[in-house]
Amino acid sequence: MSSASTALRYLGALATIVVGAVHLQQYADFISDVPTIGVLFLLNGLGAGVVAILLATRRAPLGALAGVALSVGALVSIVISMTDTGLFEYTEPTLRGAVVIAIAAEAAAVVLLCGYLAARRTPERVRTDWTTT
Amino acid sequence: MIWLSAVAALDTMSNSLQHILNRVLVVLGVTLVLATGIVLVAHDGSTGAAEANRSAGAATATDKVPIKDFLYDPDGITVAAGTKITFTNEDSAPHTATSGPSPSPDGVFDTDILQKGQSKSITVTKAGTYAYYCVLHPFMKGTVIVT
Repeated sequence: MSSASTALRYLGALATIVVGAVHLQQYADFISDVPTIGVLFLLNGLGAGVVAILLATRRAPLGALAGVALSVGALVSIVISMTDTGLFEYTEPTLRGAVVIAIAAEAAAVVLLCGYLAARRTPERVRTDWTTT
Repeated sequence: MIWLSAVAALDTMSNSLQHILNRVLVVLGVTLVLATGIVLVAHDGSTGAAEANRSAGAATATDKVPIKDFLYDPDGITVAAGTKITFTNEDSAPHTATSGPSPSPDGVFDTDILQKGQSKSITVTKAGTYAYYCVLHPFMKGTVIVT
């Protein structure tokens, strides 16, 4: 396994943990009172924990796929909640601090975990010492 | 630069260090899973309390309506015509009190968006029963009975 893919895996896991932590914090703050959305926030926190565990095991590729799905789902949900229709009748009218942190962490998780999956598929370059005669 | 430093650092990383980092990840993951259970229990295992707690009782004679936990409290009030009714947002989330059947405003009154701690008063001069809701969260509903 290349050092690049290893780094991407750890950084992607870290970003996913931040995503889950923000969702749990928001749930504890006030989202628990919102029908349906509250459950989704709770599931996000749980899912992020499971993804982090998977990324530490031999099932890391599966964890990466799940992590990408989790963060993409959360990003799409935020975008929908910013429309007039809202998501399950819940609207985010402003970019609150927690929302900004969540968007940044989700975007980072998607990029890093996709990078990890791509790096795994790319064979390591064989190093050639051209100076040797 | 940070990325290059991270890659360079990992180049020299031993298997034992990766083993430690994997353990840290597992600990953090388990912590998140446990935290999920803790916040669920801390909130009495209930989600969507706003809907569940909505009272269907009689209207209360008051001209002050605090908004908290995604609820108008009380959600049904009775006032005399011309009374100034004050809505105060005590939630972290922004809310409105907009007249009309959710989600269709009828233009009788509207507090516009109230951020945390903000208040706005509205006056209804004509007797009748007025439904209102939060434009941002249409599942939040209330009624004003003007006599």
